[in-house]
Amino acid sequence: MKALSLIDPEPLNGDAARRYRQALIAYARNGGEADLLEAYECARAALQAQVAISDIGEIHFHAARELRADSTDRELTETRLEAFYLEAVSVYDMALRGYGASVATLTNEIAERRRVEEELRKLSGMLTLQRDQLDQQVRARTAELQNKVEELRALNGQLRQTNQEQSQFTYALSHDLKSPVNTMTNMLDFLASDYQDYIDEDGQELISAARTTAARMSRIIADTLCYSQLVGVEPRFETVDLAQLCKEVLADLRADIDAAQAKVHVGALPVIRGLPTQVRSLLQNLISNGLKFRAPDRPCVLRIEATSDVDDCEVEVSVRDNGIGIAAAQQERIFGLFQRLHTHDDYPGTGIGLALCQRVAHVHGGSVQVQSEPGKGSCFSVRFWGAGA
Amino acid sequence: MFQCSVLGGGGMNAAAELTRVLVVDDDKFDHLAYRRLFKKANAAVELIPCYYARDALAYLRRPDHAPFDAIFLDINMPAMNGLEFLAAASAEFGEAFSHQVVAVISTSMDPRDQEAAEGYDAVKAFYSKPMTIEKIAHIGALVAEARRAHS
Repeated sequence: MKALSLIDPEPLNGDAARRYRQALIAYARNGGEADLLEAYECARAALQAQVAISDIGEIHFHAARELRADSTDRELTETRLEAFYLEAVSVYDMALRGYGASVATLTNEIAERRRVEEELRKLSGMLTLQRDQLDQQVRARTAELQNKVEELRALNGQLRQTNQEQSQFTYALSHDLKSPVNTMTNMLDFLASDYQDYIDEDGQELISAARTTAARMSRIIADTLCYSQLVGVEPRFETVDLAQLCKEVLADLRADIDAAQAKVHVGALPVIRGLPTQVRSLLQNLISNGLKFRAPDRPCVLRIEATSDVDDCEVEVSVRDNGIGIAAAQQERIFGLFQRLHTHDDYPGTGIGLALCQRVAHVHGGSVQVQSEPGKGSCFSVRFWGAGA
Repeated sequence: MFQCSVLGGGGMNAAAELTRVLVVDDDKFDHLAYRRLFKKANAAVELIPCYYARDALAYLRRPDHAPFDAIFLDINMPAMNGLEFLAAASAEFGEAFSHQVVAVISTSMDPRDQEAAEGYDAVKAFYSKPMTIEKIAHIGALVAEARRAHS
């Protein structure tokens, strides 16, 4: 008998083999339903212990041989052995199949998951790379812009300083020129009055020419002083009541208005944001230009008006005259510093007024616009920020 | 370029070469000064006054205008300055204008102005104000020279 026995599988498969053997013996002896169910548990345990199906066969036949040897009812034992074995193997087989199938599914799932994760890793890697590159570009561009800003700030500072220096220089120069011109004018006045009887007509003509020239020089100095004070000013805007300001300017110009026999119409003027002294100079210059450049053949009429946009954000102030007008070719020149269109005999002036107006307009964020037709009249307009802005 | 000393030999009498001069200057006192200078130089010169450059252009345009020996031209003038006048006259009168003796007489000592003025063939001299008898004599000599060249 022993010779027939193949290798005893028990030592190889340990607990699983021992359990199977005990369960088989129990069923073969008792034949109970619960004992048969133990076959299922054995198959599961074997599967877990990775016992091969062929080894289950070995374990079974090894145990069965012992049972047959000491069985009393051989036929019944044989039936029960067979039933138990079939139960175990079929459960094992079923479990194995199911397990195998799910292993395949799981393997696929794992592979898929791994692939997706890999893909995600790749994508996020690419994204990170792109983000890094973008970050770098942004940083580089930001640095570049910062450099530019620094550069511009430095240049702006230099420009402001230059402007201020120039303005201070012009101011000092004009101021220092004032007193010698005044002295000169005084001396000429003395000469003209005290020596009237000793100086012939020719000499009187020269003195008169010198006095006129000194007066002109005095005016240029005063206007230059005015202009230089506009340069490099820190604009601290205030609320400016244009109507009130205009009233004051017209009062200042009363003598000129009367001399010109001018009619001045003032429309509704709003409240704006600006520098009062500057806006005042601008208005005064525009109005006195209107009076000065009147047409000789018709009464002088001035209109000072304002139009606001819907929200009172922007206000356009205009001074319109019916004077001699300005040829289109000259309309740019008139805003140039010291530029004039007429001789001093025809229309006195320094060529600073409109340059000053333009400067004021620039300080207030705008520019002086002119519309004019020779022989018909001119209209100068400037935009300001309304007080509602 | 225009040195008075070169022509110093011409003496004050050179001013006598001038019989009629077109004075283009917006300042009436400069006209007055020219008149006095010619008087001082004992030169009987007729001055044709133009207070605007456009008046000088209008004068040149007149077919019956009296002939003149020289043009005294200011640079800084209202509406049309001396350089603009040179451009306009050269464009309008061409060759004929280039034979004129134009003396630019300016307060401006800006070398750019001088360079621009001397770019015109008509401009034979460039002086800074104030004018003097010597400078007027120099212009007289230039006029005599130009007359010889064209005879």
